[in-house]
Amino acid sequence: MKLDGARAIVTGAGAGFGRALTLKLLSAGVKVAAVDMDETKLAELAAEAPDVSTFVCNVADNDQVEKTVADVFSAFNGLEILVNNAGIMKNAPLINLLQRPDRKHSLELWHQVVSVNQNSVFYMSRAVADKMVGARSKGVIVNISSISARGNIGQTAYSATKAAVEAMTKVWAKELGSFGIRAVAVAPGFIDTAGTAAAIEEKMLQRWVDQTPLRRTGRIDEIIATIMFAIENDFINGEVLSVNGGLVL
Amino acid sequence: MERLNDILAKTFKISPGEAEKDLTMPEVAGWDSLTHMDLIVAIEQEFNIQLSGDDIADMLSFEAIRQTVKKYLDA
Ligand SMILES: NC(=O)c1ccc[n+]([C@@H]2O[C@H](COP(=O)([O-])OP(=O)(O)OC[C@H]3O[C@@H](n4cnc5c(N)ncnc54)[C@H](O)[C@@H]3O)[C@@H](O)[C@H]2O)c1
Repeated sequence: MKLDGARAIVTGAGAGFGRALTLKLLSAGVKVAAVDMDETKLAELAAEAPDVSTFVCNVADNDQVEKTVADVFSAFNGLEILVNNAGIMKNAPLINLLQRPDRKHSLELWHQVVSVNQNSVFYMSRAVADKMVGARSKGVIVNISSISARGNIGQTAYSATKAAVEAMTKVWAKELGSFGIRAVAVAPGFIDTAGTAAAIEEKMLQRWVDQTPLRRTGRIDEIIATIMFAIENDFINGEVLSVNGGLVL
Repeated sequence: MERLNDILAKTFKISPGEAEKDLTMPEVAGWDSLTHMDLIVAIEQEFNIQLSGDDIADMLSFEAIRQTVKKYLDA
């Protein structure tokens, strides 16, 4: 795909991968709609990158997603790239023997993680794909999964949503391929972001690092390079690109 | 209690000397809600006892673990 002049939506653009990706795409000449629920972070992004278009939207809410996608299409007059990146990492075992009175995994946490990590990808992709198909325009949907899709201990909800994201990627690669719309997933391992620091205890993270052949966490730029590869390579479709230092082989 | 110290050392990947101390959950790097499950299963199998939910949730230091196991063995 030719990046210069292309148009993109990046969700969760206020921080971490989403922010770095937005800056990278802008520098390659892409018009970027930076979508995030955090208005302050979007304002900070816009201060650093005046060319960006920002859209405040909770991607776990279908009405907000429909409105945002309509607004982006009318502002950009089309779209080639959707990166479903917004997500939250929450940890809890299915049964927590230390938790009283109810030892079971919280239902609230389950629904929250499913809404943000899984439903949002479905809402965004169906809204965007409908418009792409309607305009017969080619494009790519990149979904950010995680190494956790293979089943990380202590991450029932998070793992389930990321496995769902990978499954949806494969379905859409098959369904939308004939329209020239690709779907690719990128599955990072443990990467140095504020999100990781907030969600994973240091001693837990150290255990993962010890098990990683490269003995370190990944860097944001290593994930961004993979997302850019997924966007640019027009023959990659339906794949899950793992970037985890060899933690899972 | 030597058998219990062995379980603590194996479960939390610590030295036999560390296992003899009275460490609390935050002081042991490998002790979280997941390894707590392994600990309970290992203790129940080794001593052929079944710990109550409240006792399990109260076992937050090596000393509390020793006292609880002793209580079951003495009963
Ligand atoms: N950081 C890692 O090590 C790692 C590893 C594997 C996968 N991932 C995945 O990568 C993605 C980004 O992770 P990150 O570490 O950059 O996260 P982050 O927490 O640093 O940033 C996430 C951004 O998404 C926004 N966001 C959260 N919920 C939202 C919602 N409902 N609507 C709109 N915006 C919302 C937040 O405001 C924030 O700006 C996530 O999908 C995460 O699961 C991260």
